[in-house]
Amino acid sequence: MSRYEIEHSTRFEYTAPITETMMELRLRPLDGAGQRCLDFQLEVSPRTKVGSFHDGYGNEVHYFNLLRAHQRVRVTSRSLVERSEPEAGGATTDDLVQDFLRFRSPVNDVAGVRNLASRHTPADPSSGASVEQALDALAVEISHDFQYDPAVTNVYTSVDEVLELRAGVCQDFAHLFIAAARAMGVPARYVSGYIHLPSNAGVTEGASHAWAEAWVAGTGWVGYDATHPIRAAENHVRVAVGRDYRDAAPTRGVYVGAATGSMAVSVRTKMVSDGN
Amino acid sequence: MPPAKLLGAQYQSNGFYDEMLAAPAQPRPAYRRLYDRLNELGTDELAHRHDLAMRMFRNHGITFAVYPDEQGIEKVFPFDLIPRVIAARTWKRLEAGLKQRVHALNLFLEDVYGPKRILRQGVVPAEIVLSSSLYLREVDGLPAPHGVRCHIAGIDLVRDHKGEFLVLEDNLRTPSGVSYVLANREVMKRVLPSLFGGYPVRPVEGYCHQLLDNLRWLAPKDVDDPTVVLLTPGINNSAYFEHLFLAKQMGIELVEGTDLLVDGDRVFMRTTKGLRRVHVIYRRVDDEWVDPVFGRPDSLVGVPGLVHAYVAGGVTIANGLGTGVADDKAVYALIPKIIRYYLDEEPILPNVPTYLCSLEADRKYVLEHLERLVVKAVAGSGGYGMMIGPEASAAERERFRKRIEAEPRAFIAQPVVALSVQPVFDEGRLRPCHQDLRPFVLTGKEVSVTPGGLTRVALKSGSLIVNSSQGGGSRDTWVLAGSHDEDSDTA
Repeated sequence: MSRYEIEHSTRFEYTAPITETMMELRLRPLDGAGQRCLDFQLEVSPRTKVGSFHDGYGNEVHYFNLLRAHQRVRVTSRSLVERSEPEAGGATTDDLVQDFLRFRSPVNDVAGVRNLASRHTPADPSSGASVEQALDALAVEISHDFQYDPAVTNVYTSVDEVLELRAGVCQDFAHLFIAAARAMGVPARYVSGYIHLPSNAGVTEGASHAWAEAWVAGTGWVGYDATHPIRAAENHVRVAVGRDYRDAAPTRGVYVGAATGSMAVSVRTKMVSDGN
Repeated sequence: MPPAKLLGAQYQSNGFYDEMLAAPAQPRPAYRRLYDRLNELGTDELAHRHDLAMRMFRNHGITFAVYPDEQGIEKVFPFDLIPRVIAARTWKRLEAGLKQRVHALNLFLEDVYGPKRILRQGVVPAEIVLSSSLYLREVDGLPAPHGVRCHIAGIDLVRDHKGEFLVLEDNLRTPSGVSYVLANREVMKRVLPSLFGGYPVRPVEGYCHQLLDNLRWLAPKDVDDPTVVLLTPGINNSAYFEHLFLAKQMGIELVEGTDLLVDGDRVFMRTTKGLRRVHVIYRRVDDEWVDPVFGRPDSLVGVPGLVHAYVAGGVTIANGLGTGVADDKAVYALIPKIIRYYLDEEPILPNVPTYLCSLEADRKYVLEHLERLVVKAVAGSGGYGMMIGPEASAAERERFRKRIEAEPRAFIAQPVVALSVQPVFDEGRLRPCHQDLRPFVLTGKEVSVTPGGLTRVALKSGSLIVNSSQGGGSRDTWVLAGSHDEDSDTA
């Protein structure tokens, strides 16, 4: 069992004052599947009323609108999360997951995706173990054949482009994994969250992370991180799920005003003692 | 010498079910008076009245724009002078069938965006419902006021070679056409008032009152005198005329996305006197465009934050989000089962037999019989994305074969229904044209159907496509009240 303190900060800066920001946040770590969110605090500056609801994926969504002139917005969340291995057989019984087979841009059904999938056809599609093995190999191939390069893609990049570039970031690799899994007939979804990979003093500084989950009959959702490549483990903290990045993005919104904006994100995760 | 009968032996129904004539020069009972009166008027007079009618449509700006013309060309919706007559007894059954269907579809929507019992029990295959591109998992579990999601439905009916009414498709997103029902009646009453003599035609004008009543009923609980608006994508939308027309008839504001703003889970309209709270939005903007935070971020016609206000109960939108899953053409094939499951009743109105290309056996049959079938894209509407096998070229059939093989879930196929015909007055003579019927079903406290609906006529000779975007026209549709010695449109 591990406990993490996470601070996730996003700053939006505009070249001139804007008149309106409308934003949705998916920042509260999920409960369930071996994870509990023990504490969550959200700070939005300039100060404004923040509402919340649960979307159809079970994510807790916070939202706000700023209707007065402003030139920067800062959103900071602080979470305390307890993480353990999910109990065997403790998977959700919700087996109505067929919509996670459907392709939708940026997760497109293209020849490159089908080729990738065809190289990892499970030996026995009716066996969960065989499907899991095939997906492990898929994650390994993506991480080996694609270069991690934060300079070549953006949040709108489709899997077609990633296949051409042979490079991308965790979001692109998650999309590609999802596309190939769906092409194999395995429902797959996107996970937005954090990975704790301490460099010094037990602290990770960096950005948020993304990976994929595949639905394995009899087991439930299994996490695959095609960036590293590993199964999602105790150092993965799940924050939001969806069909693809758009459903699970930590922040999404629109602004009104004659200005261009820039965004900067920082994430800090720290393992803490659970008191025992 | 008396003039030759308009519908004498020279008029041939070509073996189709003719709604007006049982045989040459033999009108069905409900059409007898109408038939006599048309003959009394004669060709020249009818031509004159037709011109008059078209001028009225133009002068009143009753037009529509056709996609995919980027220019958005405004056209007058072609109109035929000869009304369609539906006997009281026939309508009674249609009305009951439509109410039953829409009631069941609302229960279905409430279930698939809630407990999903029908899917969990395997009554209909979950993969067909959930694989619909119109199923919105993002609104799963979000409540709908009064449990109603589809407030306004347009159900397309056709009559086959035996004269039997079948449901061809359901339109549960933003169905259009009701403005033509109202305009056609208005124009008919002015241009040919004498035709109505002796016919107890049920009025259609109640539609707007009923719709406004229903929309007001949807307002958040604490509101006594709710403000209702109609949200349009704007003047480039093909149905803009209708948006304008309905807003005017209901006495509500017609607004575009930029006229509204969301503040603290409430929606406000910008007016010359400042902000005014809006409680109910009759939206004619599709799900994915309605709010750029919720759907497409590049939507310029939506209202940022509208869905938050809706989820928080500060505003109601009609139709609700995600209703399209119930008019997906693959889900259509399941509707008889859906009706039996929720209502424990037999469907009153039958479906057209439908092959689902996602099922292997069906797909095999479809690919072997393309020249005999109508193939439709499941999420399509407006007559776009379809192929009529017997009329298609070999190249077009081949193109559809490839598309079906590449994406089977995206297509269904149906046998060609020999749509009924009725005479159309065209340049001084009468010729048979195929037609369908789109009644409008409103769901408020109760389900109601405006008598009749929009009869769309395929004006291109021999064509089966009645959509206004594809060269269709329309005619007034008369539902007769009470029992009557002429109360039969079939004998």
